[in-house]
Amino acid sequence: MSHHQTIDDSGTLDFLPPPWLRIHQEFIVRFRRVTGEDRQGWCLVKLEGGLPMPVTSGDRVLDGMARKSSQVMSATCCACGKPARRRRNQGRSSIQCASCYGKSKLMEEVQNLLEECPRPMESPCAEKPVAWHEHDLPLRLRHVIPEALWRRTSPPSANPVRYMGTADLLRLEPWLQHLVCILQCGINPRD
Amino acid sequence: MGILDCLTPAVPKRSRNDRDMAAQLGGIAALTARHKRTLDAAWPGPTSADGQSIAAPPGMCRLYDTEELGAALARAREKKDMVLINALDKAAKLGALRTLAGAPSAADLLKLGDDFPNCADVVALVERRRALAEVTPGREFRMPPILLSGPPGVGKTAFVERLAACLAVPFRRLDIAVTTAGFALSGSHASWSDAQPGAVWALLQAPCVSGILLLDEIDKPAQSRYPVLGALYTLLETASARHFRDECVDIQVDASNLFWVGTCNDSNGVEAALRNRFTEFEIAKPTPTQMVAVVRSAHHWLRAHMRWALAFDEELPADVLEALGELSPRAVIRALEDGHARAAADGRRQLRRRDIVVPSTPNQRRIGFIQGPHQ
Repeated sequence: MSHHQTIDDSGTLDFLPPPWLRIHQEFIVRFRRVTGEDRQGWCLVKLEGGLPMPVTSGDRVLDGMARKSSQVMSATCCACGKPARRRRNQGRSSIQCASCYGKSKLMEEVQNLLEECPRPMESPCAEKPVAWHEHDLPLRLRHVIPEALWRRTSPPSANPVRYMGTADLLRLEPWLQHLVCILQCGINPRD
Repeated sequence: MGILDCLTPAVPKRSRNDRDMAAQLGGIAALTARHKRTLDAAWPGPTSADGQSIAAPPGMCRLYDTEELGAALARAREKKDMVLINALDKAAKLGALRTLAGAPSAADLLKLGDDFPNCADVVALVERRRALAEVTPGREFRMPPILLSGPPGVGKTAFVERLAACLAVPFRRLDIAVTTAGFALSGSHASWSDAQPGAVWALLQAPCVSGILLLDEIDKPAQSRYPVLGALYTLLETASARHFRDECVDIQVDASNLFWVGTCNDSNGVEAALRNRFTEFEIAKPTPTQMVAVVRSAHHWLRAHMRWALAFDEELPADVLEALGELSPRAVIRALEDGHARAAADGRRQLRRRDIVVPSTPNQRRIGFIQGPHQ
């Protein structure tokens, strides 16, 4: 058959995240039911910039399977397997559900905040903020910071606002670093 | 549109983005709720404002007391002691909270065991400790001090270097045979004109404080007025290592997370009190079967590190493997380099058996006068 030439039959599917690997295996089983051929280890999709793309082979049945499997993968979170959509983050595309995307964005935001954390004996010319108004912080980060940390001020003729200072951030640093560890494990459950 | 529609205030529908953000926040809240206990442990609580009482979260440790470091730095600035200022400044920039080594991957350990088959017992110990790390919060990996004893050239030092790479931790080597004083380990006192921090302090100045300190030839300490290994009695005990003070820097640091590896040719040469602080392993010369794996590993190392090696065949012929198997692991790399050079000089890109020269042991000539013909 002509498709033998173009389909990757090297048997290495390690590049596929586990939820997509399961989808891939289902399509391989479906292919066996249709044609009677056992093609374990075949690769129907390739990854381009983190997105699944069908591999064309010239075989009508196999091409259909490849197209369909890449469509299903494009709507399945590559981390947890839940329904997902395409997302762009820092110029990179990925297929993630809202929950996994939220965790990866939060991790990025926490790391940015940790970079602003002052170091002991740091030169004052480092130009780091000395206070963070709650609206300066992204919504996810604002949501996760413990309520007890916030300081409150009530400007005249305005609603009370929450803020935190350099010392508060320093106290929060170990907690934030631990949160990053938890998020890392949450985003990559295999780790 | 009817008149009633105009009077009814428009209720904004939740947009797709709002729903998505709500789902994101829900996912984050579920995750933080699942880890509430460990997160709470890392949370200082609203009452402690000094920032010092905070316990380090899992996977991290507090290396020093920030206030003590600040005071030491102020004193050093007063004295204009540049060595001390630089040392303390670097420590301050890296922060008091540092990471600990995480559990190595099972695949890396498997590869390590394949490349160093004669160190299988040590790899088994690391594997057991890895299993322990997997059930520890933060996957903190710990290893007891280990002593590798065996004949020269069997790959003890190379193994430790690979172990450090496998664990992704900093590595430092201290040759005890040429070290003249304990200053090298625990620093020289600031009253000396050329005071310097020691190897322990230097190894701790990295984001990860679980570095490996290799004490090479620990059975041959140099004869000196200042005991070279004195500081080890404190440093090899976890409880006392938590309160280590480098003599030069003179601030208390937690050195209990360092990994200690000693190598020696004869463990009987190591003082008993020191020896029983180590877990001892006998590293034998690899058997002929094991040597095949060692030679292959050395060949892959050359291909990974030497550009010229890529110009030659990827696999070694069987007779070359057999010839190299007669050498010690240390001599294998040298013989491979020489062999490739001979092949290149011959205009070949394949190694042959005749390119491998097994060095003969030089005759031991006694020092003294040569007998003249007139005697």
